[in-house]
Amino acid sequence: MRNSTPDPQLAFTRQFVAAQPALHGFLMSLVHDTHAADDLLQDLAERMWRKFGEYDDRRSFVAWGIGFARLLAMEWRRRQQRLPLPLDEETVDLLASEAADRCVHHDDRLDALRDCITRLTDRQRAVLRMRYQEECPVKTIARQSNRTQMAVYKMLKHIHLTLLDCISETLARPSR
Amino acid sequence: MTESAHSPLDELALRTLHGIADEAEREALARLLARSVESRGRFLDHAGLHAMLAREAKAGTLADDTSAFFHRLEDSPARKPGRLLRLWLPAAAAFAAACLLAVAVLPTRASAALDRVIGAISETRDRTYRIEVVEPAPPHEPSRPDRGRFPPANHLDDATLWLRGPREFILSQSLPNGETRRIGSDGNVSWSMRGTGPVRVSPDAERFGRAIFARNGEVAFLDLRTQLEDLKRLYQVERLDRGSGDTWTLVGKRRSNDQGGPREIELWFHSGTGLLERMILRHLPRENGGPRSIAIVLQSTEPLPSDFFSHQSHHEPGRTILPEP
Repeated sequence: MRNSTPDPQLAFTRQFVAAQPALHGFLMSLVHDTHAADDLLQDLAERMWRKFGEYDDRRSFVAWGIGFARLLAMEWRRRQQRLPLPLDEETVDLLASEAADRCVHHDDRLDALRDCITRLTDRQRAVLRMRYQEECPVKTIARQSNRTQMAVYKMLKHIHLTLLDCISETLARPSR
Repeated sequence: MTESAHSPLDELALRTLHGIADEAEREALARLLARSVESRGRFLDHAGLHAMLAREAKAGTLADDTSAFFHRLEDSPARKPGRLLRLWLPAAAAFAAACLLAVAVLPTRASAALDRVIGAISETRDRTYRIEVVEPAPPHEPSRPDRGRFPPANHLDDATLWLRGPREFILSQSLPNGETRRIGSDGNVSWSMRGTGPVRVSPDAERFGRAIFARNGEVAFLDLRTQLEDLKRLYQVERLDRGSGDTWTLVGKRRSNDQGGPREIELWFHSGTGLLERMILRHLPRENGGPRSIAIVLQSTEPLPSDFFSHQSHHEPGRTILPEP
């Protein structure tokens, strides 16, 4: 069955906006560069919109988008002279399948992350903001904070591991 | 924390995702991922968290005041200078003295001239610049498409940059597939579109320009105001000459390799109005890939339509709009 919403543009916008975090995460799993993932998300929106007439709305929108995202990420990888992570095609295929399976629970993980972020110290949130919002490379944060690159990296690593543990604990809690 | 169970993989994954892994580390990670499903699972945890943090940061979920970070660091006990540092201190003092001397003899007219150019950039006058790659990446050095090049540096040649004051801009690039990509901001929202695809719109006025307008001197080659303020603050002005007619030229050399930014900046500007006519940025930071040197050349100061910097002026009315968080 094809998508037969009265206002396809509105329907697409609503669904794409809701699916964006999961699709961006999926792309990131395969290209390993936030700018590239961001860039590909733009291409993905264009492709999905062009094919939206063929979308069967009984199917998950995210699952439908992952098919396109996978192709885009593979095309991107083939175009690169040098990849952030030099994986063979078989490993990329495995990663793609495993990442696709995880997309089902993406919203739960995102909710857990938001909760876990509130438990970080001001200083930890500030360093994350510099790294992810200001997009400062580790080297720049180190220079600005008069720390070594290694010290800043260790701080980021500690925050990552703390957040991963917190997310796992939150998801494992029976009250959820 | 589960650090001990995944320690080698955590280390390699995080170093790769934060862009500080070397070739051997990236290859070691690739081998681990090819080998076991557990490794891939853990790597996907990291990559997923990295992606979520990037999006959440843009949505404003994180702390909104980085000054807390610096204040805490300033409050923390000062690290004892090591032997090497102690040896370097006299040399650093001598260097600082030399810099001060240079500043003292720097003609105040150079400083005044720069102030005039910065003032002109901040005016709400419309300017159209063309970007030219003066010196591409050396052929033996593969471009670095894997790191921080947004927009792709290899498509910068012949791009057009429209500016109105310090906050409104549009960068238009022709892509190899014939499509045009435009990134812009009207000062209130930023937007990005490619070809006939949907338009992404963010309430963050710097969202799509952030990597272009990167602060901290890493890739700030299109943010003219920041670049000029850096020129005044961090560069040694070596030459200020009268060129032809009312045009003056100014050449600044970066004082330190640690500060980031292009190694040399050369400006041509109108002596009366401070209007920037041409700027060449030489020896751009290579870690971001792309060309070694670029020029930004004034094409026109003709006024643009008042709504030119809004995305609606660059697509047909029915185009799909995708709001960003």
